[in-house]
Amino acid sequence: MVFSSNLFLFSFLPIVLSFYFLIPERHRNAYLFGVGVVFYFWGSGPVTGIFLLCIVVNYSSGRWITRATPAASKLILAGVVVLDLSFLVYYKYFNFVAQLTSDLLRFLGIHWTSGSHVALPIGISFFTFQALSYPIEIYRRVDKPLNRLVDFGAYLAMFPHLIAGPIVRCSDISKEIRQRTVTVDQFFSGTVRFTLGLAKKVVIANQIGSPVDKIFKLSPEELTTPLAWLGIVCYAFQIYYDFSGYSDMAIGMGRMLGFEFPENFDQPYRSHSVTEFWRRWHMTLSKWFRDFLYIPLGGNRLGPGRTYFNLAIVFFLCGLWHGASWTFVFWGIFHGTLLIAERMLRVQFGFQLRGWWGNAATVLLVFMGWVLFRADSLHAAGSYFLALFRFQSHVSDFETFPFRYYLQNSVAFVLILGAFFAWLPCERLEIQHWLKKPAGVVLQGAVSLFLLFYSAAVLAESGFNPFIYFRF
Amino acid sequence: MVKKLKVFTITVFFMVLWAPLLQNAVRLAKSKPLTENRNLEVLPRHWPDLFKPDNPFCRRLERFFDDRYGFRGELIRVKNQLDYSLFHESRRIVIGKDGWLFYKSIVEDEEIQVERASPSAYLTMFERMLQLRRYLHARGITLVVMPIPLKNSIYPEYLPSNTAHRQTPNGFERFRQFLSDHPEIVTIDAEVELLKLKQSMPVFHKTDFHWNDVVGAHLAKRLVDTLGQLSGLGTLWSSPIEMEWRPLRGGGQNGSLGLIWPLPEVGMFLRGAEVVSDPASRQAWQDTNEWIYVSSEPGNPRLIPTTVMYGDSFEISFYRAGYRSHFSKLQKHWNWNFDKEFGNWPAQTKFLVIQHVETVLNLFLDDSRWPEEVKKEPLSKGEALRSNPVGGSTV
Repeated sequence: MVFSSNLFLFSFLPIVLSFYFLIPERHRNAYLFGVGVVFYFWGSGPVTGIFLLCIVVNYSSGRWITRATPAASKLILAGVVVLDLSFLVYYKYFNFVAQLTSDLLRFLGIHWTSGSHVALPIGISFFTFQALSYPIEIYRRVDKPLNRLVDFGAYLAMFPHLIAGPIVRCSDISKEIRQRTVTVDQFFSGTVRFTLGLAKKVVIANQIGSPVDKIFKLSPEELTTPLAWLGIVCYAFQIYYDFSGYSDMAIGMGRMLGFEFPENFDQPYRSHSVTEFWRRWHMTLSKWFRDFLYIPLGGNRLGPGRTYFNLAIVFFLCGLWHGASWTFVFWGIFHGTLLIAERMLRVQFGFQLRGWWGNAATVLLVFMGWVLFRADSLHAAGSYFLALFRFQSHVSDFETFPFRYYLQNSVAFVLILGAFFAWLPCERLEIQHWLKKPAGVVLQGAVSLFLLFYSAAVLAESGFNPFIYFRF
Repeated sequence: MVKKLKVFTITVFFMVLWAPLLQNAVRLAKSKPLTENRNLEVLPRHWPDLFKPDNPFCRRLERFFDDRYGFRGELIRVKNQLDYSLFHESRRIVIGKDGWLFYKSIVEDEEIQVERASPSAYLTMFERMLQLRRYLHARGITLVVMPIPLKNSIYPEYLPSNTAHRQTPNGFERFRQFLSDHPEIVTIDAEVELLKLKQSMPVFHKTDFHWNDVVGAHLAKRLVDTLGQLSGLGTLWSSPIEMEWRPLRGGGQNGSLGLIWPLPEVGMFLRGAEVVSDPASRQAWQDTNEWIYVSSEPGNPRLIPTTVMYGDSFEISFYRAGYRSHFSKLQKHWNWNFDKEFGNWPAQTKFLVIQHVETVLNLFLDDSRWPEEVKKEPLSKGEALRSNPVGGSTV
């Protein structure tokens, strides 16, 4: 069940929210835990058992770490990290490794297939990283363990961030887990944020996604250079608004329930370098890798060579985290290479792009990286890159679908809107004070209710599937 | 004041979220359903599916909710109206010039699939047509083919520039050329008739997929007279074909547009249509595309002998023009059931009519859909294909 579905919006959410405020406060964590498990089971079925096991193991490890000697707690931590990562590796990468093995053996003339296919539990990448942060932070004395399994379950299974982030650490919300009240201001802020996120996903991302799917399905002979650029520009906005919209919905729902989740996006396309891009894009993931991998590896404290190596490892794994496919791995390597190159240029040559040039170069590089992210295979990505720079071997003379077929009026409008808000310097607008006044509240309320209504209309229409021929 | 405004917003927010469920439960307001020509998803009942991987039970439940939640129709109409009014667009309909509508699935998908079939697929299809003719001929049945062009082929001038283009000659034209080169297959070329009629009248509805009933009557007359001549009965059609103008309600493409305010159209209709001749003789099987008609005067020598037709909704205009009364027995199957219902014919069938719109070529181009008995039919050495499906030159 995704947030941008009719069932979630008009059944799950109103029922869950209504009962949340009807039950006594002391039972709300248990309620959130139960609702989260139901939410997870809805999409995953029996694999929910793995998720519950993850909750029990990580909660228990937190308590053991606190009570054990330093040496034993180190062992416990190592054990739970290995266990959590084993689940992730098995469920997410078994099929990929099996295919890789099969390809290698075929190259050697041996025919072998694994014969089994492991189903991927929804959101395993997210909840594993969230779960892992708990025992690690307890070991580091960043936070104290939660007293009850139900409280930890409420944290990990909280449906707003369960399957697609933000990657919320227990320490981010442990205070609210233990004690919280939901104020009118907070709930109102949550509704505005939620509807904004819904509109970003449904109105902007889904609309822009329509030409992307068509363009990326074109054969190399049909993929002209203008279409290739249109496809990648649209995809860049689709992925941004889709992901940031989902994060906004999660943050909004978190507020409605009394929690302040960390921000996940900060207008990443305004960045002047790829380094800055990763401080603005999927911020909770980059912080997770920084705190739990990059810094433990030594960060930038052990000299430039080791720094570059650490960056390479982090971004290789970051690519792999995004998906069990070579395209994601190469996307991670691509970004890692760019970061290393930027660092080299800055540290050793004192060179750094700034201003408009820096932004333009960053956007160009990031957009090109999205080709790898979106393509079905490395071969398809290669063909796409050739098309971007007019190096295709052959383009068909006859155009079955003209350029305007892909760039319809509504797509063009939404693209312009998306670009406007992606670059709008919100921090300079100084409207925070005005938004607190009655006129500001009325505007926020009106806009959010309009966006909710319009998003609902878009969702409804996407399910309208009349048949031409009578088929019953 | 600020707090009151926030509480008001929150209240409205909750009301909006609860409204569809309440509408389902207590019918808050009147709601007009949409026509989708499909069965809506039913409530799943197979509970064990709850415990299967990826939970198919819940996915079906979600689709059930998607089809039936409250105010769905109203929301769809609002979105479609905004798309049409602000952007002149629709997700399902190509909005042409001067209010002409075309299905996207036809213009941008199914017709393009016809174009993308390989030259060898075309050659195979042509051979299968010849084999079909021989197969039927050996059983005393005459094959009659009536290919029908679609609205965008007859009215390309109303298509917008941002839709799909087809090469010339397109696949349908190549098929018609093949039929023209093989007079042993009796062909009623509807495109020739339609282009002739277009000079003096509209031949398709603007907001519906189909031709109008006046044109349908003309083609019905052609069909009946052709079969009459082949039966040695001469021309049989005697009913006048008179037209009248009235508002077209419920045009299929208008319905798919799904607007709050449907596009108005005054369409041309057949005067005196909708009167079924010999109603007592009609036996329906399943629906408008699968039935059998038996005349109450089966021995009447002025009736066309037993005929099987593979057709579609364009045939309904023949029915409204009263063509069935010219047959002693007429059995209709949906042309997409050509392979499933092949051979399921009455005894002493004399004619097999394939009435099809151009996109049904996707069926004939799929060699797996041809019956095995047709594929086994040998072609004589002299029965070489006389037209090159790719280049158009004759062999």
